Amino acid sequence: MNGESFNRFLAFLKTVRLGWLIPFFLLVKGEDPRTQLRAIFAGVVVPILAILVFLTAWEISSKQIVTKFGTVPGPRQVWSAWESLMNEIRMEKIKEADHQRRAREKRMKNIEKYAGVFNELPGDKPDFGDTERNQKALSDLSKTFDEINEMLEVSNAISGVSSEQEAQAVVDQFQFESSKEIAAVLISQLLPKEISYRMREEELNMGERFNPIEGDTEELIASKESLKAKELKLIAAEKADLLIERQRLTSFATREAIDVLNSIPSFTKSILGKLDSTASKVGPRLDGWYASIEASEIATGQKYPNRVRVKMLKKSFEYKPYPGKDTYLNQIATSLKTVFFGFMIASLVAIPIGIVCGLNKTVNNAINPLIQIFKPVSPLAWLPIVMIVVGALYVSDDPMFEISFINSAITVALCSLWPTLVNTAVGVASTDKDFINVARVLKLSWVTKITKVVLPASLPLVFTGLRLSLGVGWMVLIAAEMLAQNPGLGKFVWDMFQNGSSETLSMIMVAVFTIGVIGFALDTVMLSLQQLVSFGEAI
Amino acid sequence: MNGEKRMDHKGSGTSTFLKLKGVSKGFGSGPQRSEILEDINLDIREGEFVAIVGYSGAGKTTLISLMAGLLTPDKGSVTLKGEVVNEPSPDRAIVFQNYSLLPWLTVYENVGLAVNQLYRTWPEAKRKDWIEQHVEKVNLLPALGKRPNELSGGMRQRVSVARALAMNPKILLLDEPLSALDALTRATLQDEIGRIWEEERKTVVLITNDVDEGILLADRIIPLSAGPRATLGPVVTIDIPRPRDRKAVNHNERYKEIRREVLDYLLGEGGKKEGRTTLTRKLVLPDILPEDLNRPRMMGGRKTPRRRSELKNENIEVSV
Ligand SMILES: Nc1ncnc2c1ncn2[C@@H]1O[C@H](COP(=O)(O)OP(=O)(O)OP(=O)(O)O)[C@@H](O)[C@H]1O
Ligand SMILES: [Mg+2]
Repeated sequence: MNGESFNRFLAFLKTVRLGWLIPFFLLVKGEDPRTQLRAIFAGVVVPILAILVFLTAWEISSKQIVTKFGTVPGPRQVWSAWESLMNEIRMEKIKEADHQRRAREKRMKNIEKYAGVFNELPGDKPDFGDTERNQKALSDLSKTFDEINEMLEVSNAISGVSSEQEAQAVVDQFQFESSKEIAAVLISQLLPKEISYRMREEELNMGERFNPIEGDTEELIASKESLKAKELKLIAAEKADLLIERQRLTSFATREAIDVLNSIPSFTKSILGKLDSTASKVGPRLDGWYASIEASEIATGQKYPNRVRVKMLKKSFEYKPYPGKDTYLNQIATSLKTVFFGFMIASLVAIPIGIVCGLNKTVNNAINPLIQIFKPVSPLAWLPIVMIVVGALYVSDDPMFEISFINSAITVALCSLWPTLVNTAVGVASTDKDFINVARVLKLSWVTKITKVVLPASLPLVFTGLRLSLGVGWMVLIAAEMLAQNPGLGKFVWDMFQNGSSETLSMIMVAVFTIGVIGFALDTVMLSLQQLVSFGEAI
Repeated sequence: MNGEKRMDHKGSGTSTFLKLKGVSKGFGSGPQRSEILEDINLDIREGEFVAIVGYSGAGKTTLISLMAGLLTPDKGSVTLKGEVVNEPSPDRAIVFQNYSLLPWLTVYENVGLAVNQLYRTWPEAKRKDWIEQHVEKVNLLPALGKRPNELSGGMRQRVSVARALAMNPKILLLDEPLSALDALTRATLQDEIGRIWEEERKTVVLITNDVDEGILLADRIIPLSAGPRATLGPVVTIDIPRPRDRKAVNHNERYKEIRREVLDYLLGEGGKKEGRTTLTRKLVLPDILPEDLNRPRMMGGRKTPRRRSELKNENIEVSV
């Protein structure tokens, strides 16, 4: 890399907020190590230390606050909650694959069962390939799922046992090596803790140690009681740790299961894929066939003998999507989709109006009071209005978008429109007078003047506005989703709050961090874009 | 061909091309009103190279903007071939004092913006040729794909000239094209402008604050008196034969004479306003606070910001 492009690369790092990487590169390049190490200390070590201090302070202080859902979760619990969300995603993936597998098996069984009917299908005979090979692939796959299901069962099977021997007896019944391996990990890492915890709990419940007995002095009773309280606290802490550990090992088991799912040999996969693609072509043909049978029955009044069988066949070829539940990733995706949709509406409205305002003082004066009045209005005030108006206008039996999605997006748009509008207007109005003069001398048409001169000149400010808008939009979105029940992060927070379990707080905190990280990422992207359109002028 | 025509005009000196008659211009209204130019009369013949020299802030840009039609006179009239100039037109190409290149366009696109606008009917290939031809004229072909911020000041100014030339204007208006450049670059570009004019023989108005530059390049040089109410002084015809060599011309008696004549006016009658002229100069006084060496320096330590009080204005009164 030559000097100039290296410098450009460093500048790029800075714009995408990776400036803290620069000293590392300079160090590798052999520049003065003392300066670079000092820069690394300032740019990397200090922030990491600050984060550690924050986490420690959080961990310590969280234990002191007890809410109706238990103690406030510390960083480890929040991480564990994140793990459980990710685990859910893996589980859904497995379930979906299983759903597909079952549909496929049923289809193949029906083809066999109704072979005679299937042969009557008008047109070319569909080619599913070698039957024996298909059977082999299907049974391989079903074996894989047996294995996966057993792996996922391990945790449950072991959780009830009270000793290692008992656990070993359970493990011996497992068929697959992988389940046994998982069980070994669980037995060595989780079982002792579970057993000790259970014993402690039992002991406390039987309560002999702490119960006052005859002859105890008052002092002794008091000290027994304080000991009991201490024990309770210890047990609570132990339970929290146990939950974290259990979550970690559950995730471990699902990850292993996913590995097994992914390790299906590729020739099996290709056979299955071919089966599926042939089936997706045959499906519509069966539909057409069945429809023509029905039509001809009505027309001729004669019953087609195999009608019901064709119907059964047709049904097994219908595509049935996996009715899974929304995972955390789906919710994040929904939120992003909503905010981008709202942001796009806002930009499409704000930029043209901003341009007109910037070009024409009268228009600017006319619109300015409206901008100033609407700018500070909270999303919570807009939302009910939006809901009512959209509810009245957006009526459709088969809406392209969920109404909650529209409501949230429009609320986002209403709140995030203003920074773009104001900045575009300022940018256009402050276009260098010389550039305008160039346009005048060339007698550029109105459109060319705007697209070639005015807009590019104001692009840096437009992008500043867009960046602010996206920030506002993302912030507003969570509130809007909460109230509009749009199935994104906002609704996630709301649902967690509503179903108040011991996980509530940690889940909400996961959402808080997710929202923060995504917001930061969006801002960085916009900042980079803004830098791109500034033609070397630093912002 | 064009050149011969010019010689005719010079010989006969009859037909006026661009004419300013009793032009006055001021800005603002009420107590803020300031009169910048007053009673400007100027005849420029076709193919002629006219230089106008004047003080900074006298109203030179205002004057050339009036010629370009970017401004309209309060009094008097500007006419080109008898037609009143009241709006800008590509016929009167102007090279702006600060280049005015569009920073988001490359050299090619900057020139192309003008060419595509003016020669819309031409086929693509012909326009491309035309653009490249004019960029070549200012020796910038290697920088064709570069953006203005990758170019030096001199290169930017050349692009600006190329853009104006590509418009094939009837008259070329140059507003202090070289005053932002260092002396060496300036000399090179002066030669280049001289060369281009020899080739093209367009009517040129050159605004400058450098008397030598004016004498070296122009057929006639006209001083503009100091503002406010600046007006044009006596026209001096530069009857030094071309090509004029920068070094040789310095020893030319006629050259010295013209120079003296113009400077006499600018320092004398044309510089005098209410008896005195005041120049205001910004002075930066040295920071006299000793630096505290015990104070730890911040990383990438910079000098502490200059205190406001270090900036002083100095008024120099010039009386003649
Ligand atoms: N649009 C305007 N509105 C008000 N005053 C103006 C305007 N344009 C120029 N002026 C004033 O007119 C005077 C002359 O300005 P002008 O730019 O023509 O000077 P100049 O001779 O080109 O100076 P320079 O050598 O610095 O380029 C200045 O005092 C300036 O403040
Ligand atoms: Mg000027």
